[in-house]
Amino acid sequence: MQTQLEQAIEAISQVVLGKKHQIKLALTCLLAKGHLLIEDLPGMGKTSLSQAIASTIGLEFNRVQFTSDLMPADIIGISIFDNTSKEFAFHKGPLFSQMLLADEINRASPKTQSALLEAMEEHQVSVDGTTWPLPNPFFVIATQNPLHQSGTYPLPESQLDRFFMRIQLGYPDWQSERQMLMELTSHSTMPPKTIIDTTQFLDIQSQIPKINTSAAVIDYILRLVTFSRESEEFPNPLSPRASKAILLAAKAWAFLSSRDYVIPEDVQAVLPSVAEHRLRSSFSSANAADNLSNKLMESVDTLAA
Amino acid sequence: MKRTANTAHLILSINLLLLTLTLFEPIMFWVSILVLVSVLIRIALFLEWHKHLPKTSTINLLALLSALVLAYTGWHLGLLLSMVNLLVMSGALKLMMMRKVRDFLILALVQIFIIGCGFIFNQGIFYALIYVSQLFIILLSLSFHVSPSGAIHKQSKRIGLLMLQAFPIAVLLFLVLPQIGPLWKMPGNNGAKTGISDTITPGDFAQLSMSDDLVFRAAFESDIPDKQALYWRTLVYEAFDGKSWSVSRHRAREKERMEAGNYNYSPGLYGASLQYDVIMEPSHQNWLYTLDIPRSDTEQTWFSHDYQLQSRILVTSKFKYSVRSFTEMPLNFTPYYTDTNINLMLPQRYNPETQSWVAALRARYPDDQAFIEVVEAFFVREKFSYTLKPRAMLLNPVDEFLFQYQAGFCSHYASAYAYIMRLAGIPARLVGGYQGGEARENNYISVYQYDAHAWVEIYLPDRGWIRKDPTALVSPERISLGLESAVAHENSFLEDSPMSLAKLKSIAIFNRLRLLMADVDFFWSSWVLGFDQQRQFTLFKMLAGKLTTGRVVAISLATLTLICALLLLFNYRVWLPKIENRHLHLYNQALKTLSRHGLNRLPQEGPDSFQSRIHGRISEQCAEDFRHITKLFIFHEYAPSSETNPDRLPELKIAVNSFKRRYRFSIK
Repeated sequence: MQTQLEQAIEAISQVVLGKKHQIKLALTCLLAKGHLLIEDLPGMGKTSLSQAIASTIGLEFNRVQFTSDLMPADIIGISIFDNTSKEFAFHKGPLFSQMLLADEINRASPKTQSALLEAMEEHQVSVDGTTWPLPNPFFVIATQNPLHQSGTYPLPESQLDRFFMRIQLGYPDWQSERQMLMELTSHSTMPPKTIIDTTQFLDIQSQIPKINTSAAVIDYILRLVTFSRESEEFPNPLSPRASKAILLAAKAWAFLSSRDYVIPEDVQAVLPSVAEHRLRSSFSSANAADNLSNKLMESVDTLAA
Repeated sequence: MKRTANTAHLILSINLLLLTLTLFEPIMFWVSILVLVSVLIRIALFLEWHKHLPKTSTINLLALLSALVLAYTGWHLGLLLSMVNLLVMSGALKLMMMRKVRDFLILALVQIFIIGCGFIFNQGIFYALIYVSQLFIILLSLSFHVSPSGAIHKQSKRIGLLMLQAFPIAVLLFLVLPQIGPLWKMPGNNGAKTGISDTITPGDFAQLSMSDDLVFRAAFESDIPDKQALYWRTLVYEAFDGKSWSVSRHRAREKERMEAGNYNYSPGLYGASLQYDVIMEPSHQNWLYTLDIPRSDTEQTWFSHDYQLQSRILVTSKFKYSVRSFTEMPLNFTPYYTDTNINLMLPQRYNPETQSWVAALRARYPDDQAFIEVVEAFFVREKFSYTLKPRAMLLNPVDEFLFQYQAGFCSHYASAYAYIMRLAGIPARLVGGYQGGEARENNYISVYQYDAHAWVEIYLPDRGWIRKDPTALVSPERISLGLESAVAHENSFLEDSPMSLAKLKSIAIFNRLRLLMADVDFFWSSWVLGFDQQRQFTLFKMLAGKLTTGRVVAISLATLTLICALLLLFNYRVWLPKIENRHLHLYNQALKTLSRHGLNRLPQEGPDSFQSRIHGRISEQCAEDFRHITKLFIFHEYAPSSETNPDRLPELKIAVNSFKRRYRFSIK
């Protein structure tokens, strides 16, 4: 299974060049059944990444471009009176897919944002008193422009917390971008083939919790979390939900690294993505250079005292 | 909980049974049965065949009955044996109703006390080993009582360690605590069991010959003399009633007088001598074993006019005494009236044929020397044979022996010879003792009951007492080779003890084993059991020179300090900060070695990242070694322990220690 995952990573990195680490993190998030927030400037390959992931895992993929006038019904769906059956029939919106790409989520109004986030949390939607389950698996990959850009409604901390992970893609390096441009002139890029089918993927997902975590690793995570709570440098300390997320992500990372146990390095690999958006307050987030999760890692010893 | 608590009970129960088995001799059969029954009850409870203890009223009734039986039988047993039986019996009864913690602890203590009692009966090294293992079992049971869930090998290890730690302390205390003589002695009524009795009726010694019990060991300073010369004088018989020889009443009375007056017969002895130590088994008699003519400076011994070295008290435990024997001195220091007088006394009855035969012979050979030669020639000429299965000679034993059956063993020959001499007017007496022994290369000799022998001493006015051994005339191999060779033709050697190792002498490995056991036992007897007050003083003198009060105090204090130091050594870990994670501790030691060379792990670095970071900065070998340590550490710290990932603490320990040694000064 690990080999298939490696193939998937390889295939995706043919589409998004030079971003292997971010791809691995994205897969980690999906394996841990979490929703992913990609934060970056436009044109950095956020959409390509989501599409490539969806097609390698063989997921049904929908994309919604969020705008300021997007209404909740636009993504959930609406009930329309059917003249023939004399009943209201529910027309499912783009939310009903295995993978939803919510592009530029911070451009939508808070109302729409929270409708989406509720669905993400509940894995179901209720319309007119009827509950509709969402497909399984169900992932949301949301993209977000950096907050200083105009026309944005920043996601409140409480909702950021719903995202299991937040990654940034960043500019590609010289080599990768060069290769990208070369390939662009030679042939059109095709979406990658499906490498893991959905049942296989669900099977892999179910194995993640079985990855072993020793007391030493759990203590390390606890030291990290506790430090964030005790130190004044962290305006938003990590919640128990965050520590759960760190552990789960570390497990998935260990799995992707072909190990059946977690080492501190796994925790460190996922910590910036899992913890950074939870540590930072919405208003201080403008200062992106001030990396809180790195500060946290540097302050805590990996080994017990 | 209930079930595991029973493990402690079960161990203790089974130990009681084992203890009873080691005491099979003093313990009465019905008491053993009682023990067996109580142990079976415990086993049934353990295996849950049965759920309930016997009723208290049942046990009370049983106890009452047992007490009555014991009181009845105890009348014959004597105090000590009854008490030991009582102890074991009450142990068995307690076991039947053991319910509370208190019962359990009492029983454990009682068993330890029974072990102590066991040493009254058996002091050999093998018994000592058995009792130590029994103690181990009792402690194991206590350990199970304290922590019922522990695995047996871990509990055993803990108890074994505790006992090992206790051992040096025990040795110290043994060496230093005053070796006081026994405050209380076992009432000795076991005389019939061992040794020579104070009466010889020809026939008695056959009983003796059948036993391979050890009588004594003698350690010589120089080489062991020839076997033929080893006549261990034990008892002198000077009264003859026509059938049996016994210690003369006159002699006994005289000895009593001498002993009461604290008079020690001390002839002037000179010439060639042999120095040796004798370690004798308890005989419950006061006679000692010596070669002629002995002189001993061991306390508690005294020497009498019949050249017999005696102990002032009954020898009830192993006794060690040292002797110098002047082998070439004639036994002519006692021109006493008693000697010649009592050794010419003759019974008028019995053996008329011998009487007339001697009278006729004496008439023809009035010269003593000539007469003796003729009598000895008679023994050689006639068809006398040596046997351990002589015919019964009841009416006129000497007549029947000399002229009818002409077959017997040492006491027959000695008795007949001495009788003939007395009839001829030559003072003669029987000496009982042991002849020969089994020599070992390290200059000691073991003498067994089957080496028992009787010979004759005759008194010639110009030469004193002269040893005559008529048995040697008939069966020279009895003297030169020992009893076994002498009776080889009739297979009667140790006939009654088929299990005796001595019988397996001809099989080399068994013989070697038997001799090895003898060596070990000799060492045990002379160094442990023989460590008495005198030896203790010698040891102290060796350590501290002259014994003054100050020095004794110093020795005691030094011992106490030593014991405290040992206890500290055993328990120092209690005071040290406890290392909770030994793997981490070891890994940190390796890190410390690296940090001497400026390679410090950053706190945020995981072990694996640190290992790969420093990879290029140290020598390849060192990197490889550290990688191995890191791998072991990560496996322990983070991977789940399983069959494929066992705890490899020892491996990590070795790896870290060699890493520390190797890279203390250089890692490049």
